Amino acid sequence: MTQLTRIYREMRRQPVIGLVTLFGTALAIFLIMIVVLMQNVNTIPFSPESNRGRFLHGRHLHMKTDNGECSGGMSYQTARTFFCDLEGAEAVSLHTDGGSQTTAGIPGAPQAEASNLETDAYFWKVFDFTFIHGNPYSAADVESDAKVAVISESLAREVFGTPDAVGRTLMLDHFVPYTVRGVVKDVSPLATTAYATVWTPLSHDARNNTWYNYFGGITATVLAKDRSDFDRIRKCVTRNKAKFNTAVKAENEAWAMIDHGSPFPQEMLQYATWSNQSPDVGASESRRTRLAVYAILLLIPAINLSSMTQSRLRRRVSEMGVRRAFGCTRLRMVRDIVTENLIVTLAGGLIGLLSSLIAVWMFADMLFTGSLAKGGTVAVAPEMLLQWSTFGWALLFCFLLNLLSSGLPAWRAARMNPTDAIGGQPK
Amino acid sequence: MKRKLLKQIGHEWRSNLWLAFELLVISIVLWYIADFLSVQIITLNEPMGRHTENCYLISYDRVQPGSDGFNPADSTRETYIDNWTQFIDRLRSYPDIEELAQCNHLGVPYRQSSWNVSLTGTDGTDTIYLVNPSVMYVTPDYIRMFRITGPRGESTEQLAKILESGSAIISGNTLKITKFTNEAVLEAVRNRDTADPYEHVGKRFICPAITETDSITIGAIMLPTKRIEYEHPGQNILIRLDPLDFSNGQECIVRVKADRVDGFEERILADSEDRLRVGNFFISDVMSLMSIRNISQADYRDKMVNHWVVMLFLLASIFLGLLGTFWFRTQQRVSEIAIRKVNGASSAMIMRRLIGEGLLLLVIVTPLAIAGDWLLCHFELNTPIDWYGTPVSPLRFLLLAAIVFATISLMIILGIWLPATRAMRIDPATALKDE
Repeated sequence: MTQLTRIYREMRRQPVIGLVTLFGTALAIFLIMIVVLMQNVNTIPFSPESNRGRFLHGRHLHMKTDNGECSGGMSYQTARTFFCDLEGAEAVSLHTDGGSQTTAGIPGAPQAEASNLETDAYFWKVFDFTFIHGNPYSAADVESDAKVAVISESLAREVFGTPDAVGRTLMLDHFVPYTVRGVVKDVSPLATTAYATVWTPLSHDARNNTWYNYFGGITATVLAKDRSDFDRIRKCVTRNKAKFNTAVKAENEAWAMIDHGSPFPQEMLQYATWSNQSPDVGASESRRTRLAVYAILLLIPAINLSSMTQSRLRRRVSEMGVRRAFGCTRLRMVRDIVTENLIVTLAGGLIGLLSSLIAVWMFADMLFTGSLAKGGTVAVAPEMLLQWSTFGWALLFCFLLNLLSSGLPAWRAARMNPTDAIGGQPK
Repeated sequence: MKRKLLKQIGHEWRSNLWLAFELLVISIVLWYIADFLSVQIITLNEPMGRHTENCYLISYDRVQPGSDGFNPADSTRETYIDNWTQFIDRLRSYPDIEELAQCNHLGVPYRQSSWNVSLTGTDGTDTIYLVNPSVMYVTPDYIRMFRITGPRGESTEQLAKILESGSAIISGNTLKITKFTNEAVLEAVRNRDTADPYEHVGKRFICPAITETDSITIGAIMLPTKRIEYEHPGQNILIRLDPLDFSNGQECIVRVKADRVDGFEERILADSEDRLRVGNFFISDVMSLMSIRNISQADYRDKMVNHWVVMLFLLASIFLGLLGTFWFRTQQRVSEIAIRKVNGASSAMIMRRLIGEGLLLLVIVTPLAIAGDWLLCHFELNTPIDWYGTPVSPLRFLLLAAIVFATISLMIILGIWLPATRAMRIDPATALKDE
């Protein structure tokens, strides 16, 4: 309490310096948190990807051929070979990789733009969609190549004028009639794996669409029972890959699979861009860039704040001299100064954090243009932002900033000779 | 004056050291950002090589068996070609459409795919290789529609005629080597061994990736094209596309009459199911090349915006840092300023002195900062200006350093201005009351 009073008095006496300190801290934390939040969106769980912590993604296939190398997506058959009989997996879903652009509508009316993902029936088990009306399609629907669809609420409204569209006929790609089986709550394009506005059973075409026998447009999402099962699952996949390789070699001696260690957990997914490269390459590069950005965003304001703390302390040299003369230890002096400063840093940090949350919430469309390309609008729901980890990061950065900006001045102030300090002549 | 200033800076060396360190770090980071932005701006200003305004990509599809309106009689090879020809003709005569061209997937502007090949030929005695041009199969109308021209003033029409005759057109920046090894390619890249591209004109080349049976004659040289605005121009080769051959893919691009652009997408999509439907062919989507551009370039634009934001943040930091530090400094020097005033110093002189102190700090760290910038370039950590890794020119290097110096100076002046103005309002009599 005495510290709070002291800070308040200090602020009253030096309003400009107080504001500059507060604003400088807020600005630094604001920018750092924007970087953190943009990064977090790739990993934090939200519906329908609430189980991100238990996801393993199998994306690509890379093969040595008789005259070079070839890489791309997996064919349905390859994906099935890799991801069958996995111990420790709760469910495995095979689906197309990213929604394809199409049109949806009713005959004689303008067609709406839609993003179509073809999936198996396990998809609805791996991803937790919220059904407003109807149900997902079943394994029997997928097997029989049934023309049924699950659509998003906003598409249902756009095409039918009501979210209750179950049983209605929707024309996809102008001419192909589908019966609406279910309507789900809209999905943010930030849910990179599950995003679409129309989900249909994995068609025979998609299953038979292969090139070079092994490649196609299929991707796998494995839902583990627990994160501790990842190793068991990977072992099973490695066993399956070995079987696959033997079969490939039997067909053509020169061909072989080049393994990049898939499937990958959610945190690596953003780096699994290139089919002929391990995501580790992109991850380490991105980590280096992020570290450099954090360092600059922390270091520069810390230098500023530090020189301001130092100036502020210089005005209080006599007070410190008196405290030292009356037996206050150096350690206690340092602790007091750092704590006092921490309160200001935390206040600035809170302003920075709040403004960053508001900024991400309001300007999501501008910040996530990469996801926007998929279509729709990027709505960032509050629950996606209000994560304990976000507050944890903000607090950590505040501590770091505080330690960097007040540690050295506090240490110097504590080392002052009390006699000089009382005389106002610190050396 | 300078000596006095230096002495004063030395007197407060501790806080000045911090400020100097901050200025040094910011100078180097700002140089890096300025270099990145300058490369982006230079690249953005390089010509696209293709004029894409009012152009749209028409995606088509065929009605599939099992769909409403599927006509089995239209699925034979003959009807397929007939329907395709009619489909293209109907599009060509659609009232909104001015021009129409066909190309393969790689011919669509703003798409970032590429298919690079090498051509082998002879140069009298030696075998020569033209390395890495990206293949675009296009109809002659493609050259007309995108107004592609040659480096020696060859007109669009001349180039279109040459392509029509069956010859290929290659961009003037295609590299030539005489020995096909990785080292030779790297060497050629480093030295930009394009030689005189016109010496290839009229020569025959082999490229099994394009045609296993025939040779390819280079008929003309064209200006290189860029895939997207943020990239440097690539090397290209244009090969004539048979408008009825689907083996290399068939994309259809149209240019819409300038006065018909408004509402074009809605109008043509509304006609897609009847007026523009031929057999099983129909228009499945229409997308302006500008939309394709915006999607393809989103990441690049974001990166550029991020650099601007970091730059503004750093400038704001310098401003705040100097504002805070000098606020204190002037407060501590109240009596000093008052004595100066009593001795006849004008406000302007005091202002100059205070600002001079900040600027002198910057002048002191600038050589170090330039050394840091040079190290960035030396270790190739700066942004490359082209595909060839050409080092930054001394002129651009110094110009950027000068811009950074000027920008930071401006921030220093602004940051010190406020506290200095306040300090000058001191009434010497009040300030020196205690003395």
